Amino acid sequence: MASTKQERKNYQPVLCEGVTGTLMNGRTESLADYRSRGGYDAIRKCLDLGEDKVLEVVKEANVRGRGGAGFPAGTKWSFIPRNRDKPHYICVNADESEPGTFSNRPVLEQRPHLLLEGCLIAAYATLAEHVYIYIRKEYYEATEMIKAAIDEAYQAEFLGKNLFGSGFNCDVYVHNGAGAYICGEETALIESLEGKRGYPRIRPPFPAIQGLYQCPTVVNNVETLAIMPEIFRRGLAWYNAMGTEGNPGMTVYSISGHVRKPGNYELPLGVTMRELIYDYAGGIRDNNKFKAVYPGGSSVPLLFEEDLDVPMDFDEPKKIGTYLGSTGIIVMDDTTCLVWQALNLMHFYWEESCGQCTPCREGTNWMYKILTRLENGEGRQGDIELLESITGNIVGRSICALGEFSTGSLSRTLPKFREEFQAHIDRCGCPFEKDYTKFN
Amino acid sequence: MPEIVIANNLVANALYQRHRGCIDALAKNYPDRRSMLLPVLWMIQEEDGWISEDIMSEAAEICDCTTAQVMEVVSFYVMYNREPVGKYVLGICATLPCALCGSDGLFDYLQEKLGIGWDETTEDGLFTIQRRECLGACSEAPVMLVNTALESKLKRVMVDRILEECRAGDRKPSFGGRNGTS
Repeated sequence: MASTKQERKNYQPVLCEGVTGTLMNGRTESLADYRSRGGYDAIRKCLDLGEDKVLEVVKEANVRGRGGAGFPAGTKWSFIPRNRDKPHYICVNADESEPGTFSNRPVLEQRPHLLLEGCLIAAYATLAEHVYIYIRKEYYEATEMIKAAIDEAYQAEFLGKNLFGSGFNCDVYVHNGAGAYICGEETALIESLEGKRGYPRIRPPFPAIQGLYQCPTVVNNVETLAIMPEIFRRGLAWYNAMGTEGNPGMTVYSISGHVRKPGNYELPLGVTMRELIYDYAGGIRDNNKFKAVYPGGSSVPLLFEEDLDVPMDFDEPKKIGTYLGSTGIIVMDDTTCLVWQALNLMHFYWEESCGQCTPCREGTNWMYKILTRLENGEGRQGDIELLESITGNIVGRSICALGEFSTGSLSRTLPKFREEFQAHIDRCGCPFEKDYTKFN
Repeated sequence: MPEIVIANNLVANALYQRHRGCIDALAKNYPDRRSMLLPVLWMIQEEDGWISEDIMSEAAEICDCTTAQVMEVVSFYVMYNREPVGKYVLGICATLPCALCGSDGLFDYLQEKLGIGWDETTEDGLFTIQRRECLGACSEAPVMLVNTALESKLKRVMVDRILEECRAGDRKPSFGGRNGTS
């Protein structure tokens, strides 16, 4: 059942219920407040249903992972062996580092108990007793709020041993990163938890079989887990009534860049980019015109004017060669230089590449150098062909997706805006004023 | 979870002795000592502001790995400082959403006011400017971290005020010094 435009307008936030803005300007929801909203009743329901039934419900709900890949969470959980031969682990991916994405931050800072209850449900369903919440170090308030909530939960005996007299044990620990985007990749996150460099692992074996400490592990995004208590509180029918075919439920779209009202917008899946930019984010700033937008964080190809009516769910964008990704929407107006934006992002991917794979390590380096030359007026004829050649040689040729992500700023851009790149070469420099780089 | 027993030969490990309570508690969180490495490095940096090679050896002993393995980690994660830093570390977000809202100009402004560039410290030891990648607060761009405090929707007057507050000592410094607290 697909949500209509009107249903989307009428939608009331659930994950972000009571959340104030992006940053923690308001109160953080206490244990008592969370309980008054039905908090920690969902895990009790799950304990009554039993581990197998809980897993079945989550599979039926078809919760697509919210970290960027959209892989169904229930399917991921079902890969965990249904025995207790080895300890099982849940790792919460709170590394949120995808440029333009800030939808986990408010949940971590303002609704920590919602996340904790989601962790309990995931642990129960996958026969795990230990949860590690991997939070990026830069999220200082989030770390404090999560730690405080964990203390509250232990005190109230909602974490620890024999929860609610059921025999279910669950311990939760916080572990901070140290400034590495790649540690948001699930196997790099595991390596980092083990005290090593964040080098992604070759798969198979997959984390569900050999993950953290070579034991069965599930790594899930904060939002994916935060949805779980709501499904058990409000029911499958509620969740499935929203969204689009194969993409039920809601997500938090983060919008930034050249819009009047940047921020987080929790909406049913399938809202179009046109609605997001014009109906929710106030349209383009300063009466400028729209030029391009990253739909899913900066790691996916750009959308242009003719793509604005594509529903933003996990499946539709693939038909035009891009992805929903992390729903980190970065809007650029017509004062933006597309070479400049590619250069900005290429610095990011070059810096963040872990260095294991030659196509990514060397490719991002070369693309960064070429784009620097183009933007600084030293572009050479043949540079565009070189960029195309490099992007073609990175995709599919590295252990993880970062290599492919680095081409997101170029892959749909070069075919459509080739003349902008050519102009940088022919005119020996950037023809744009770039007023947006000024700081007042 | 089987508890790790920290080896008795850490009697001579000054880092362990200074933070014994914290490290013993940390050891209970993991079935493997090497997992303690990132948190232990943060303990060191919160004390000294940076991580020297000497102290890396002490960390290696606590975490049951080699000094080279500690060096691998310190050199990989950009937030660990390998040189001393100023009392106030200004972490400017340089990634696209902030760059679309003036972060290039913010860096230029700070460079002009403080006379330093990326990864440099002012002569009075007060300020270090560091580059950060997307800090996850893009709707409030441009943003920067002043030590652990996120300052957002920045304007020149706000930056001026922040620098004044730092100079007046009204903000928490980036590291605490060795005064025995942990």
